Amino acid sequence: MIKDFYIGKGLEKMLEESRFYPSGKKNKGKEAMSGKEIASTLVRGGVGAAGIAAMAVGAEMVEKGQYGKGLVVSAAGLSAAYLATLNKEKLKSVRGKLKLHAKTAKSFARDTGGNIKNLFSKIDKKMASWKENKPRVVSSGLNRNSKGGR
Amino acid sequence: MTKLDFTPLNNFMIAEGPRGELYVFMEAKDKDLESPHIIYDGKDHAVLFMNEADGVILDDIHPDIRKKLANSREVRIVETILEDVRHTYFADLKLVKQLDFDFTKLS
Repeated sequence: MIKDFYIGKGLEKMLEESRFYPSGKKNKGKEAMSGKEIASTLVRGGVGAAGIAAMAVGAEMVEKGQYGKGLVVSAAGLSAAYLATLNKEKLKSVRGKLKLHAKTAKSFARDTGGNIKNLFSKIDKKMASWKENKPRVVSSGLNRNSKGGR
Repeated sequence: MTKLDFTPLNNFMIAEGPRGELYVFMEAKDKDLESPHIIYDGKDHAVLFMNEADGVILDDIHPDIRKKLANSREVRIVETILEDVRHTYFADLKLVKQLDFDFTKLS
């Protein structure tokens, strides 16, 4: 279980069952880690949390053959990326979080050549669910109370 | 031995998914894709060709993944820009006895 941020079951499973092997001259000597370990490390470092989720989304896109142009949306991955960013202490207000959320969504849409309308339609549905859970998400006890679901 | 002008990647990640599938996460290069493929000899270097003219050297591949990489027939490439996924595609992997490139002058 990743304790540092809420995460979709699909992505969580993938991270738990994946292993990451740092390579290249810069990473020489670094040990391989599970997806769970590497995600937790990145989150604790305060950077790259969305990145690791984005990577997982990317992997999912490849798996589904949805690479290249066309609609590429993974609501689970996207929400995981968003929720991961919620753990950053610098994000003090819900409004700030929503702004970041919009930015994340847009950048996903842009970089995947995705259909923004469809994307935001899915986001809106997700948002309704997130708003219901707002106290839990906004709570400073996010880390302690995480059960890996939304 | 052919001199290779491709840039070595100093920082990339190879990931193994739940079903043993392999991914290479790397900084986006934005090259045209035409039959992307990887040539590998099971050792520390591999060469990823995005097309006939463009590619990168996968330098210092993590020792623990070399055997699995050598046994793979295709790899999923995920090119990223910071936290965003830029391109994703499959690259066929061709295993060779020895890479016919001179890696000694890599920076």
